[in-house]
Amino acid sequence: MPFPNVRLANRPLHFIYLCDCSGSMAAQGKMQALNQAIRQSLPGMAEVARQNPEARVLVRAVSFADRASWHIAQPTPVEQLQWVDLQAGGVTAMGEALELVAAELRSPPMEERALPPVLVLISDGQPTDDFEAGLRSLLRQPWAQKAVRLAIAMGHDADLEVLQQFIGSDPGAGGGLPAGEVPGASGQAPRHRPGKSPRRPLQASNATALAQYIQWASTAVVGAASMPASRVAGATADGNIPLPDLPPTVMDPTDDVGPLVW
Amino acid sequence: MVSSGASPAPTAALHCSRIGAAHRRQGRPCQDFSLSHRCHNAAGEPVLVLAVADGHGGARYRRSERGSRLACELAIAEVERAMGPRATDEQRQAGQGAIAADSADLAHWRRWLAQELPEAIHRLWLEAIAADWERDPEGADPCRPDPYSLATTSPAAVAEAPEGGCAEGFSPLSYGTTLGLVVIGPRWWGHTGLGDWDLVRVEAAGGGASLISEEPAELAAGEATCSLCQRQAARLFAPRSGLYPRREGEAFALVLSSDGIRKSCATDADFLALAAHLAATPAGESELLESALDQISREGSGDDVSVAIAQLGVAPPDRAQNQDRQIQPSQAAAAPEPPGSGHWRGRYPVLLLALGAAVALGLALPRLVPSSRFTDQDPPAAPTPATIPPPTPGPSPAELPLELQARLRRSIAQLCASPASIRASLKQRKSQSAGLATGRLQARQLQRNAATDPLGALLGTAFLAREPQPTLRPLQALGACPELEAALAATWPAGPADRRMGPLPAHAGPAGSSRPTAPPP
Repeated sequence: MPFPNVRLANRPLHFIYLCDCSGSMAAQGKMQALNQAIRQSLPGMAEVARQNPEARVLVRAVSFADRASWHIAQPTPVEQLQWVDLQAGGVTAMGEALELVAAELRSPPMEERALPPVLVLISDGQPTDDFEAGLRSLLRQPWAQKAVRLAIAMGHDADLEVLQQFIGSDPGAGGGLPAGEVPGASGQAPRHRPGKSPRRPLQASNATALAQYIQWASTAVVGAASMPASRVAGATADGNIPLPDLPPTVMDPTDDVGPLVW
Repeated sequence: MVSSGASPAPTAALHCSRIGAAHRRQGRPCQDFSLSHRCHNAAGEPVLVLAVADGHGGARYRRSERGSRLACELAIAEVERAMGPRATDEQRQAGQGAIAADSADLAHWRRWLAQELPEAIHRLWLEAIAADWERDPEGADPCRPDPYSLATTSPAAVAEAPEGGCAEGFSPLSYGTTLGLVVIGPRWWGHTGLGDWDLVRVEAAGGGASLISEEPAELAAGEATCSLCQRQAARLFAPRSGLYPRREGEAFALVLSSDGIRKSCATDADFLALAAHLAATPAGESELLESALDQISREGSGDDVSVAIAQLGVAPPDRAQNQDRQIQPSQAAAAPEPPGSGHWRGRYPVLLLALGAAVALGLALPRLVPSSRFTDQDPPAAPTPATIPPPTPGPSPAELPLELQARLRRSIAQLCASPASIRASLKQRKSQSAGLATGRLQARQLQRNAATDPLGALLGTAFLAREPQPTLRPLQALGACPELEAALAATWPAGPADRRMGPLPAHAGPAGSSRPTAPPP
């Protein structure tokens, strides 16, 4: 009784960066820090992918300034990815970037069996186009609703409210757990300090913190999303997947120093 | 044609659960569980029960492998108790459909599957996990947990309850699991459960495979699923419940599987083909099934994988040879045209993949022997033609796109949940009904709009089912209750605007029930 000619497949995990490339990113080495952080995170991401063969980690990136465009248009296996530096200049067409991603999260082209995508929005400012329309378009897609949506604010000029809208409501903000507390994937009591949560914009005030957030998103979060554990519908504290603990430095503000302060 | 007596007993059943490749690598236990079990109803007729449960994988569901095992065992025990001779006279007199021995009252059994059985399973499961915790508590402060108080707490609140102490340490969440259940009696078969399991029906003789039940997307998102540990768990069974009369001469297999199998397949067409392959596993070859499941997990999702399979209406080969001579002319004359006939043929090429795989089932079914796990319990098989007859006429639901099937099933289930309001619901669609009859509306366009107008899609499908041979069989196979069939049959009476279509046949007519009633047990 030979095995039938059916296509068994590991499940694609789409990881998409949405990178702010507005003119302000050129200041204080922010763009350079972002390029470096992403490039340095790739080996770790590839290792996580290797350890989870049931997931096929595919990376893409959108850049947005005056207009939004695909920086890496093809879903690229992380082990084959070579990061080409982003360049800063222009305004902040964040809404258009969300529209671009929304189009790619339709089914098709999204596969029936894909894992929840991971979307990482990185910005240092405020959108200059119709962000609300872009977000509405994005969240109309079921795959966007299922996605793990993370946001990193570079510096203190970033519009945290907009980034929080992208992430969605923070279940830790009301009732249940104290603000900022989320259960860790380890099952242990969460170690996040109040106010720090992956369900809120992660504020990077220097290159070191940015690198740690990017590393966390591209390894710990990818690892959690690669082997999703089934869970109870309605357990809102989990979001779409139980997120891993934030990197240790984020929990200790005294570590949050670096050569640049944005 | 509905069986006027008992349909042939299921001739084979098998089940298997295998630890997923990822779980094995991570040193985690298999959190799936599956069972198949034969018992008898109060009349002594054979009943087959399949169960598959998938314990949640998150860290907080740390006893989910116990939860899934208990769910399967308790569900099967409850089915056996409710259908079997151990039911009390008082319960019978109370008119509980669950107690009557395979009653002809299909509506009664439908309600049992959707409401009464789920409530019993949920209650028993909560009691069992509380007892399990009491026997084997975590932490140093064991005390008696109260499963009911926790079960009335919202899942999110339970999930977020702090650790430590007895009341805080025990939570139904720790045992969280899905549950899929199939009950096969002599005159009907049905399914119920909650969570992300799948149920596929594979026709014999290359008749195709179709997805009978899947978790509605609106009930769960992403990797989330409905669970027995939820407060409202008993109510979550209804959307996954369905009941179908067994018909004379039918030969098909049912494949109940945990989500790890479907998620290992590139597409739904691959999943259906794989289900057809698994359905053809010879019952005595459990190693073949284990090997196949291991390969599925290894090359696919990495998740635990479970399957429970029943083959219906097929006699063991030794009996089949003797029964060749028993085929009566009336049976041959009643043999309907093969599936895929008429205007449905070739409309949905994606399902042809599954048809091809189902041929393997057709070839393999005659080789089936009673399940090795239940051989000595098998009741005698009823007389069955050795040559598997082709399915009954009209377009098969297998020929409808999967998404449309799912939406039709949900729409049908909603309508049949309130039979008294069916006609009122259809009356509101007089414009669509008239449009179909006059040609102003295209039935296939209504089917394509199923996502936004499932009732319109149902009307379109019912309308198409009247051509070229008037029959509502596709809707019957999708779980339509007699009241719905009757109402649909009355929707397009033959008239000047519809001269080319005669009235619907008597068996689908509006006389209360479209199906001959089964005899009392």
